[in-house]
Amino acid sequence: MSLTLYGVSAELIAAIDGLREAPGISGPKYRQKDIDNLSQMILCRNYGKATLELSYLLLAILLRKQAECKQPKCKQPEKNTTQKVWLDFFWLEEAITPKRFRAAFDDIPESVQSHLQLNEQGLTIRLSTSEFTLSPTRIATLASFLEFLVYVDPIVLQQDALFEPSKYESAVKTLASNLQKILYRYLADHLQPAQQQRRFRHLWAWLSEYHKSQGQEGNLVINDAVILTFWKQATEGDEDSLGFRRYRTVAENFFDLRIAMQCVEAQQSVTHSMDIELPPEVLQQVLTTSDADSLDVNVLTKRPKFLTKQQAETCQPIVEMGDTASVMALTIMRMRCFGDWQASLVQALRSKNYDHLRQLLSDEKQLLTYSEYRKEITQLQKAFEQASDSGFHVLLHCQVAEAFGLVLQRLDDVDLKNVRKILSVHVDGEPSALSTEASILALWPELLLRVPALNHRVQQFQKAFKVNNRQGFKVLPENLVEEGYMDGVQRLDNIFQRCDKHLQRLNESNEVEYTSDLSIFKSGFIALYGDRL
Amino acid sequence: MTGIVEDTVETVFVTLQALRGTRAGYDVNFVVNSVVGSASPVMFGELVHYVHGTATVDEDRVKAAIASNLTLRRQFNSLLKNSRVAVAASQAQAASDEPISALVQRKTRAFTLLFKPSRANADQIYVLLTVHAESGMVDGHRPVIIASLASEVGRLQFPLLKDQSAQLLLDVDDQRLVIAQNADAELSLI
Repeated sequence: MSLTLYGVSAELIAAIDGLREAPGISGPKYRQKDIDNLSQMILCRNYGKATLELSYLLLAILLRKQAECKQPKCKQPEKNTTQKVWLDFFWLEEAITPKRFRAAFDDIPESVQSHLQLNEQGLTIRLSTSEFTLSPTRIATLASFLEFLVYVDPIVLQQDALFEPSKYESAVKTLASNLQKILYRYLADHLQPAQQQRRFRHLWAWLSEYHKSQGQEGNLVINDAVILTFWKQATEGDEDSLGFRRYRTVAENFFDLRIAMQCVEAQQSVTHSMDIELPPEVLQQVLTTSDADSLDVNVLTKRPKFLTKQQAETCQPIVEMGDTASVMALTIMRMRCFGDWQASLVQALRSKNYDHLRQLLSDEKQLLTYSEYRKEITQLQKAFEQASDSGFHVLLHCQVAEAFGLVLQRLDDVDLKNVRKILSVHVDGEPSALSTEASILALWPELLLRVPALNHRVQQFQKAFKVNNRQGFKVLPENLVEEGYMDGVQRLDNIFQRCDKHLQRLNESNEVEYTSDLSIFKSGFIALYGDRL
Repeated sequence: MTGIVEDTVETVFVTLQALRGTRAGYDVNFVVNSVVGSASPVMFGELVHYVHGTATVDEDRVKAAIASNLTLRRQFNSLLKNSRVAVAASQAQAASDEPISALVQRKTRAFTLLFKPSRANADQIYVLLTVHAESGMVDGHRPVIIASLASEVGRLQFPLLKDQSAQLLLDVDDQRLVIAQNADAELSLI
């Protein structure tokens, strides 16, 4: 498996494929190897030297053409725009193979022989203070690079203002720098960020090495233990250009890497499925591999305000991580308990408050323990239920038909059976809320009388609403915008489920683990920050 | 063979994306879309060869791209401007109730294009190109006429010039011929 294609836009992939299929004057214009070099250069953001090479090449072509046109035999000396000259060379003459390139510079006009010289190594360009040799075997890759740049920004070929005699040296550097800027801007939209790319490469290499040492080559599993081991090693090293001394950064990047690996696997599965022409239903199953849909908690802090900002912040890591929050629940908990500790240590270090730093390092009692964390999440779940109940009270009060069905779904099987009897709806399995909406609405008062559990629920909703003093719950709204409340209760239900899954997984860990983790993190922090004391 | 058309497959992905929403970062759907992806775009080289007639290109694909992609259209116009040796501007016709008939000739100082019905087959027309000294073209060159309207483009690629002229035989309803005979079309000789 390779992560090379992770985070690459469809447009960029299509552009590179377009170059692979580019027609030339005699068959395909570029060899497979040329485009492989080009894509490697672009995807690895290793194009700095190539832009300089290309700029020298463009200058050489221009110098040769200008000199040729000063000769009496030249037909159209006035039409030598950069676009025309480079167009002729790269596309119409297609002088991009080593043989054709050498032939194109075989007969260099005398007036530019001081600047251009064809020798065994290639074409040497001599300027006042610099000398650069272009290898003929690189020209095809550079030509594909130019074509890619023209695709990104067609203005690339129009550089007439830049190339003034006696300013060639600066023109080459300016052009190279401009080309880099164009590519940088383009890749910002079409490739994952450079820092993330570097971090992934580092983590990937470490992960491969780690599993190899464990005798599990080829099985690149990311779990809580792997993340902690990596971080411990990072605290021992001297170099930290990637910011891996921070536990949170390590964990977040491993989570992202895990998603990247899932994406690559899905990509391979889809490609394979399409190759063997699987039916769409099977493809759909291939895609349903990750429970990573986004769920914005912050919406719930606006009107109607279901949650406070602090509540939203506490549950955010669990919610936004999708299935990672349950697969690597321990790491999420470590991020909260020890990541926050590290953040305050770093803050004290930055403000050079060493007394505070010493105090923070020695005072472990202020730390959030694992049992306290679990308690915090459990309490949060209760708050979700309360908020949801308030929302249901509003929805029932305003007789939003859909809400009645949702309330019934919360009843247990026996009560639901009673409801069915009353509604005279006899269906197999779960009742369909949509089909019975009208009858539920009509029979609601009777249902409340005859099903005590339902009545109890509705009273709970009312109580929850009465104690809720947040925006949107102070008084019952007259002109209800039901979407906000409906979305809120459903969103809360989702968040509750995710927290529940997270907690279930955490229950496997115990307080003994906290003590050993505390010792590991403390020694790590002392190694990182202790020498300042 | 299951007989599944690619459209169905794409529909599945689009629907899935709509259902599951797009995630802030990169997710599985994003990658899947990348895999399914769109067809490769028309690159600059393909456009150059279309205009100059120097290599075999998928003419319909290039024409469709010029009609739908603004950047490519600009590139095409710029390329045309830089590459042509002569141009026959669109001929403004006086308003008249008479139906507009197709032109029988387009003439400039650099070239003349003559549309001559075939005697052998009434459904076919000979397109005769004669280049004059001003074009600077010599025998052995393979001339191209690009006829461009605001909405579409047509390309007539002639065989090698012999005695300063070349000819093509086209069906009367050939779209390239229809555009070239349209008085509103601008003709560029390349």
